Amino acid sequence: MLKNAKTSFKIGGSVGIIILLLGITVMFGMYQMSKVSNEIIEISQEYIPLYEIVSDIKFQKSTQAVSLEKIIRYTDSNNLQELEKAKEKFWLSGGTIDSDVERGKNIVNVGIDIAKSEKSYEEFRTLFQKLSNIKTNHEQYEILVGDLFLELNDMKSNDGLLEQIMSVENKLEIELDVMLASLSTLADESTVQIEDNERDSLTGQIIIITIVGTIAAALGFFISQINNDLKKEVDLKTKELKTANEKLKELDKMKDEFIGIASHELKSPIQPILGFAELAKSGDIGQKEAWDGVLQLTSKLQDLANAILDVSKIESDRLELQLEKIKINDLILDITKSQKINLKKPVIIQENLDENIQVEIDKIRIGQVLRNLLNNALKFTPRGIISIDTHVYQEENKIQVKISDTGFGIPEEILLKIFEKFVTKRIKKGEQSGTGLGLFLCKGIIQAHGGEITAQNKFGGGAIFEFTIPILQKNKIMNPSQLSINKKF
Amino acid sequence: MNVLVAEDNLFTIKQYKHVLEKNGYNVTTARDGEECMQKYNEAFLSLETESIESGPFDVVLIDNNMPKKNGAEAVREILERCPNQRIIFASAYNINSILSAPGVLKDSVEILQKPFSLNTMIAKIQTK
Repeated sequence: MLKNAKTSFKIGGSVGIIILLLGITVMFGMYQMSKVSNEIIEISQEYIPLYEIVSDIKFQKSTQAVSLEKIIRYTDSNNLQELEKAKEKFWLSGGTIDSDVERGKNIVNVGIDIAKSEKSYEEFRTLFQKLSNIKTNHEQYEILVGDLFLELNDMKSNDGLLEQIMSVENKLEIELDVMLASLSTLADESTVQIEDNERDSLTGQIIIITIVGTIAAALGFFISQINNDLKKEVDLKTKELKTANEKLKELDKMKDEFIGIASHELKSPIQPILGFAELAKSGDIGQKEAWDGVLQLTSKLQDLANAILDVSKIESDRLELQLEKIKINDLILDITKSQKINLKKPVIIQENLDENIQVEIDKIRIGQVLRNLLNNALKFTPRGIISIDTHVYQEENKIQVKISDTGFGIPEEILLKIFEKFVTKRIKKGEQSGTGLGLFLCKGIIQAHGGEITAQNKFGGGAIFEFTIPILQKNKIMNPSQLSINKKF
Repeated sequence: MNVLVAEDNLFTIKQYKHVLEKNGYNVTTARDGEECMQKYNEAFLSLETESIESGPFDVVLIDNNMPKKNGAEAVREILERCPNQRIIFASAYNINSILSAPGVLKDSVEILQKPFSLNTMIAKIQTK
């Protein structure tokens, strides 16, 4: 069960992590996009118009240079009409440059406003500065050119001025080129930056998706593991059920066998009883003979019926004992005495008894056991000695009773099963007198007392039956050492 | 008319003998499986050759549960010797279970389910 809980936890945890990571992926992607779009793209969008403006300034400046050349030429050639046209064009271009510069400054200001990083801010401030320098230089250029126009009107020599103009113009040219290069670089850089960011976010997303995929695979693996675990458990349970089922089948078979033998045993005495009834009725035999026979047979039948009932009680643990404190030797001697009276064989019954202690037993049942064992000994001993011994082990709270004989002994195939039901009735050469349940009942009675019973053959011929029972029953025990000893039984 | 009866219960066999003799049969008794075969073989040896197949007794009544050798075993041995010997097999066990067990008894063997009355037994013997 604990293992199952662990696996369920694995699944739950994995599913949770997957959902969490998917959410993170989505949010991460969105964040990345917003991050890029907000700053960089907006800023990058500034560079292109700026570039165009500065390019236009450069163009207008070139136009002004061309116009200046024309003005000088037309002054020399005294072409007043063209001269005025060229001057007009010159100042027009200058005006365009001014407005370009203003537009450029506005765009740069916007960039300054939206710039979030220090780097971007500085970049735009630099651009603003550059534009300011361009404006300053251009103004200087136009002032010098204005002076040149005056000089030209006055026909004065103007080489020195022209040189200054050239120098300022060059300076302007350089500044414009630098700014264009700078803008170009910034545009490239921001493109690279955008690409980098996109690549990073893509990488990040790929990593997350890979992790998610791995977790999904792990999840799949866990599920298959659970599946296998469940399958194994099902297989195990099936096996257990199979075993239990086979056990039940066997018990059923044994029950059927018992019932078969029991009913046979009950029917057997009825045959001669029926015979006696018939013969007595038809007057073929005397009343006394018939009734004596019937009484004897019904007594046997009664014994068998009671034995079968006892078997049923023992099997379902319902054998009830009427416990009382009995002097054990008195009981034994009682039983041996009645046996000795009817003894017709050359057999001696000998008692070697220990102390005549009080034992807590069911008198009738233990009497039944003793009689049964003695009768068996007598049945199978044509001559010799039957001896009954007792040993008292007071500290261990047990008493041992041994009944041994000098008879035929117990055949091997019977000895193994001797305490089972109807053993002698089940084999071909079996003994046919007796109920066939005596020893089974003996074992049941002894075990109900919390004892043990064994049977074995004696070396040199004959059999020994031995049982051990507690002197006092468990609930009367006072000290703990006796408690642990009783566990043995 | 000769009858061999094999039965271990003393009362029963006495009753059989009494009734059979009353009906004019010559009764040979056996108390266990071995004694049954022993007496059968003795009778067999003193047979005329033409009666060999049908055996020395008009009918053999055998109880299944006897010491030393059980009835089914004895029946088998008898039939090996004299295949046409008339046999009545008596048992307190369920007849159906005996019949359903294959090869236990030959089809020709008649069966009496115990307990049966002595009149039933005589009637069975007398109807051939």
